[in-house]
Amino acid sequence: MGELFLSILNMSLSASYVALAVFLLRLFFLRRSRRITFVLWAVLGIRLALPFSIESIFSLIPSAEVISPDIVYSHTPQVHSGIPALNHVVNPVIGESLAPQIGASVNPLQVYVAIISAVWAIGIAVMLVYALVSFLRLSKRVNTAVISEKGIYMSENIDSPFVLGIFKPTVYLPFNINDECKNYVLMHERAHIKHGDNIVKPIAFLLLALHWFNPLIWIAYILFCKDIEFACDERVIKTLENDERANYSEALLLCKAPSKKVKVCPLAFGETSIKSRVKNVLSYKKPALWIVVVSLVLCAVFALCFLTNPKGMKLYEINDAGTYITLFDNVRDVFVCGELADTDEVIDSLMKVEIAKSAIIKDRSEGRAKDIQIILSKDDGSEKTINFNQELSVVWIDNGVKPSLSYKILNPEVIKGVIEKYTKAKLTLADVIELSKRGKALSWADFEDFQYIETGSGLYIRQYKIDEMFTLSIGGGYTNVDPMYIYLSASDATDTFVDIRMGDVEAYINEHKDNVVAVNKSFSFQSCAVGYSEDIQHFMWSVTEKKQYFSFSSRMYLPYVAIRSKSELDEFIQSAKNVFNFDLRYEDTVSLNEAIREYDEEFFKAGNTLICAYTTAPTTSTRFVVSRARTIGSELFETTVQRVGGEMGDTAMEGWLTMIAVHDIRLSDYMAVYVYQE
Amino acid sequence: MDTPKIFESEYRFCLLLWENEPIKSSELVRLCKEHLGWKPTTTYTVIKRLSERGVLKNENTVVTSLISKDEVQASEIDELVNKKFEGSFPSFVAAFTKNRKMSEREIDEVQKLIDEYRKGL
Repeated sequence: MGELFLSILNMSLSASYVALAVFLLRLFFLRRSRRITFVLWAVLGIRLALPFSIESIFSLIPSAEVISPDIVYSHTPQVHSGIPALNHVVNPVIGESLAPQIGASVNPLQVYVAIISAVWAIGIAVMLVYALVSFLRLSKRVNTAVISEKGIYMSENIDSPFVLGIFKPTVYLPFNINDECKNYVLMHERAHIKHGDNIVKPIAFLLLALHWFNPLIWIAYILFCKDIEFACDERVIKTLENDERANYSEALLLCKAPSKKVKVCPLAFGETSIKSRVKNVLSYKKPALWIVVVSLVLCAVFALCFLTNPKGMKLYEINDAGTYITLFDNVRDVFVCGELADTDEVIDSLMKVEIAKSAIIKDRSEGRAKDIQIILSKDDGSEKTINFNQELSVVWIDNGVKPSLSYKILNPEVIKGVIEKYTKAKLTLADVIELSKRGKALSWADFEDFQYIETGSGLYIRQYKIDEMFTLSIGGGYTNVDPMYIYLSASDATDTFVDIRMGDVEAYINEHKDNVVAVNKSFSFQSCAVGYSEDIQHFMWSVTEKKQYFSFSSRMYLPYVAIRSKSELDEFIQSAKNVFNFDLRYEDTVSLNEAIREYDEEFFKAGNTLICAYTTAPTTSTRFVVSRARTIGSELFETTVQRVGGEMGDTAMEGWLTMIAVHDIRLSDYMAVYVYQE
Repeated sequence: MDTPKIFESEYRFCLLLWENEPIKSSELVRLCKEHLGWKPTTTYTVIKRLSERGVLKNENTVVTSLISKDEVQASEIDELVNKKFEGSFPSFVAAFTKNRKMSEREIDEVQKLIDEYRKGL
């Protein structure tokens, strides 16, 4: 209910802009063609009825969701009106007065929203009951009306003509109407029916009932009813000669009850302001063709601008991972690429960032582009990190709990200035060579002036990306003591690096700079427990094609077999029949028997290669995941299996067969294939 | 006894009744539907209302009028003459004949009515 109300409230607020625009444009159409104004009214009606999701860059609606439905859960409630000045005035006030009290069982806003929603619902009920009662009273008054001709009844209980009924509209005339009047009145009332007003007006009233709290919609309703009458007059007088127009206006004067209160029964046509109608009738001129054309074009532009919502959304509207509605709340400090920045300036520009509504990368891994980071440090000590790629075209947010998906930025220019202001120089190879000359004297501070990314958890690890090939990493427990290491590493090799304090940096650079960089391959994997035994080890090593027995630094090469067809798979299974346990499974894993069903004829026909590697773990709660599969140059393919978990659980050894499906690769083309555990 | 007031639409209904009475109420419902566009409930309501006012009676679903068309017309004229002509019959006749040419035959008929009225005095 509260959510429904908030969404109606949002619709009402954005419809208010449309209403104001209609009021203005209507003035232009008034003296030209009343009928065209109904295009405007239709746009308003649609906005009032549908929570819109069509977006266009032409939209003139400042914000489609001023008040987020999540506001009731927010620490500091905020509105996002799309008008910065307004937000600036409103937000500090409601942020403070409506903020949840610590220790209180409910958020005050939740209570207010509940109360206001109830009032809203009662208002609707009152409006609908009023409509129903006035409809019933009117139909009771005319129930003895006598048929005069089809669709026209006469009654002594009424003193002005009207149309009643939604599905079977009927014209009611007073008995004492004279014949000339009757003729004109019928023309008018029939125009109502021809225009479908008997259906349109109740719909308009229904929308008014939904939005009864919005005074602009009341004004719109009254003007709309006026336009309905004017349009019917217009339809009639178009067919009349000049002198007949005078008669028609006389009929309007004579036949309408002179000083009756405005009849507001939404299901009948009470008549509005005779005086202005008479004026209108007498001054009517057929609109020139150019006016009709201009009007239609204006209407089309209007519909485009007001029927659509602004394209994209704001950063704080990302809600794929919980909600980021409070993204900009309670920010104490802002760091742009590690540099303390002016909070207001950065937030103001971040508020302007528009992003496409659907994610472009459906991935939550930490490995996505984070070339430029803006860290929002909150009063409560928490942090939210906004990650951009180098080009500022993609963004994802990390709240430290669950990172968001990646979104395309529609207007990178709004954030560019701020980032350039704070970004430090990029570390270059020349810098590295220069710095390396200082050897052991190098400290964290020497690298402070360059762009880096914090990647460590527990330890400080700063990564300085130099180019596609080289990365410098500094690691250590504290930044005020000498770093544990300052490695320059090249991405073409899996496991070579040089500590620039001691190693020959220039030689390392020369060795690698012309090499081909690594290319990541897409892959998927499954891991099944198959049992641990010496036999399995022996068996697996006996079938491994390109053997790498030795271990190198922290990497352990694994025995594996690469399978390219269903028949090869069957052969492998057959030969492993007596060594593997095919039915072993834990609560969170599947047995090998189940897992291999996925690798059918079609799987191999689609160009997949299946690499089955055997890994062992000291506890039964250890699991294995595949972190990457990549080619380096044209000679090397490597895939890395990593251990996860396993701190607890029983300490029995367990062996796992990890099956890595790599798409579109011919392993026989590579000189070396490394499958290792890191 | 004063003739009860009959409204315009009720008068239309009475016209049907006078022409067809005595008439079964179900038949009357059918006639009203055809000629007045009334729903059955409307017809029954009007029958009840008029029987309360003593215009008609409904016995064993047969409806008969208690007041004739002449009586109703006479009382309408009375009311008209009282309201618009301060009770003066001559001014009424003057107004009636002002915009309407009366034929010789009509004049004779009226003359006859006046003569008979004189004799009765």
